[in-house]
Amino acid sequence: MMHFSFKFPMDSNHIAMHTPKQTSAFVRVLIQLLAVTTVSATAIIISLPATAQTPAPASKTKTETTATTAKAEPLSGAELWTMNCSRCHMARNPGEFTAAQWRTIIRHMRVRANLPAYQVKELQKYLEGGAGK
Amino acid sequence: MKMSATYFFNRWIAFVLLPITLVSLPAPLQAQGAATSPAQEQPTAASPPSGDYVSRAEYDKLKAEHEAMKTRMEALEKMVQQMANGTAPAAPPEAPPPTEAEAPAEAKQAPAEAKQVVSTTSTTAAAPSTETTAADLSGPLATHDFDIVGDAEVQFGKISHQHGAFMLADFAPIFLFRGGDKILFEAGFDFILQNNAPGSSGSTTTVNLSFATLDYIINDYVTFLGGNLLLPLGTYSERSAGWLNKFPDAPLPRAVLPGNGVGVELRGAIPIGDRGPSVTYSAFAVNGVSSVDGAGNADQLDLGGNVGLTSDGRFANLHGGAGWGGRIATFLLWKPLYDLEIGVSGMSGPWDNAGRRQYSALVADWALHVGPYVEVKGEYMNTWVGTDNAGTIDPDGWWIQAGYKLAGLKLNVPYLDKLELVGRYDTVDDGLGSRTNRGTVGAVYYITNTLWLEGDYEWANNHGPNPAAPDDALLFQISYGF
Repeated sequence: MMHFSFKFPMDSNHIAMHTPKQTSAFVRVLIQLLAVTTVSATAIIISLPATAQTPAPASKTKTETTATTAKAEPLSGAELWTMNCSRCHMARNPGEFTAAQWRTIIRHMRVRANLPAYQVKELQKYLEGGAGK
Repeated sequence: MKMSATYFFNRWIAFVLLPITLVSLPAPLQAQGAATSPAQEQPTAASPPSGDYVSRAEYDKLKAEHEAMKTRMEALEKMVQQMANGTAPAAPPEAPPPTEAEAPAEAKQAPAEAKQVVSTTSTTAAAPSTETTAADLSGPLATHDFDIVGDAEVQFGKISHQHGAFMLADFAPIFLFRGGDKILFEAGFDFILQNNAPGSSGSTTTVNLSFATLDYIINDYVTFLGGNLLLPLGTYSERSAGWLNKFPDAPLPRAVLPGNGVGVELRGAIPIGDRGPSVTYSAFAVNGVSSVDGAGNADQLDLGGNVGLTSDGRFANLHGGAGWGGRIATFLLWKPLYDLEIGVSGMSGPWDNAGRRQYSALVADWALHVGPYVEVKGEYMNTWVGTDNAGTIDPDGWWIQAGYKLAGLKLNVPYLDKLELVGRYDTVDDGLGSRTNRGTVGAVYYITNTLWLEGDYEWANNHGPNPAAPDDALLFQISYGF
């Protein structure tokens, strides 16, 4: 990657026209409001119990329901693979990595791409199912 | 009389029961015929399904499910046998991976088939945890794992009024270490070769720590990160690797934002239903931007220098207050590959040593995918920098880029099908009277899904004393993701 940078020159004559202090204060308040909202939401969410790491056993009733009503079916691992990977790069072939490697890479992508836990679980099933040896 | 009664009874059987039997006989025969020789019963396939009989479509579906179950049963039997023998079992046969060449095109067809496999798996094996998913299929995996992924680039550039030269050799590995169920350590480096200072011979290899974080998954919705963070101001800083960015260089306005910060972060995603959409968030506190000489003059702003240690090894947060901010975004989805991501992010914190001057940034980002061939994305950023000598300046800028994969034209021309046309417009204002507008057009040729050739022509339009980009440039880059 090429990195560009530039410096701000000491040109007070020119800068005199750029002193929107009121705008700055408003934006600062806006940013702080955004941050407070985010942190508050985080605090609420953080108290929720984990299920992705220890999900409940699959419900047979639920599976039967989804099998009969195709419209309501959750996205499959293959669909999630297609959808999520191609948002930023070409999708990697499941056979390119072993199951153990996929497990590590998926965790990396979970954090980097902010993937929901249930999608991570389905992706993991799909990619490990077709993983190389 | 006896003879007569028997006679009438036999005639009743012959004239009443026999025709009824004959009339009703074809139905079971037809159903039986469909089950025993489906290939010979083509007319039946077109008949609509009824409440009593199995249609061709229903039969085919049942047959496919039966075959899938049979295959899976055989694989499970084999695995059980191998586990009993104490040998490492093979990977399951389902979900066959597409070949590299087929991957993009096949992606659209793969879901339906794989969906069936996945749903079959979920009905037969309840997974006690995500870590045991593969164990159900292929035996226990190691709880800890170390991997290296990353990218590498070679670049050739011809800047207007200069000699053309190979101008970049970049190796950017990412080390990943997974520890148990919840921990991931990741560190990304940039190894870059560059000439020594003018007047001295030789070259120098520089190594930059792009990011290094310890990630701890608290629960489904929250992950903690600590270390040298890629700041989630917009999306570019987290998605800028050479084989992710379709251009050889970064958008100009990214120069008004810090890319990294040493500190802590909480981030996660909250799904909206189970069809893909989600809301994502990040909240961070870092050392924040700083001043080169400690003073608050406009030309001393240092976006990446406050890492907590000075070159003499002393602990030094260069100002008293932390920089903090976050990003909140929503990912909307109509169907796979048709999606829109919109995010808003910001950051604020002191930047001079005295802590009297504030740096604030606000960024909006978006990315739109219309099928597998069209992508449009961009960012708008505005910053406000309080200074000692220039009041509050507001460097800002925006960029937008679009790409179209020619495979979408269905020309079936081998080389054209691997080509993507790209264009970008970016502009930046340093807040001090200099503005640069730049246009870029080019193409990406996908040799494989991770090896690209990029070629771009850039023309820059500079105003003011401090242009952000050089003159017009022709750039070529080979990018490889591994």
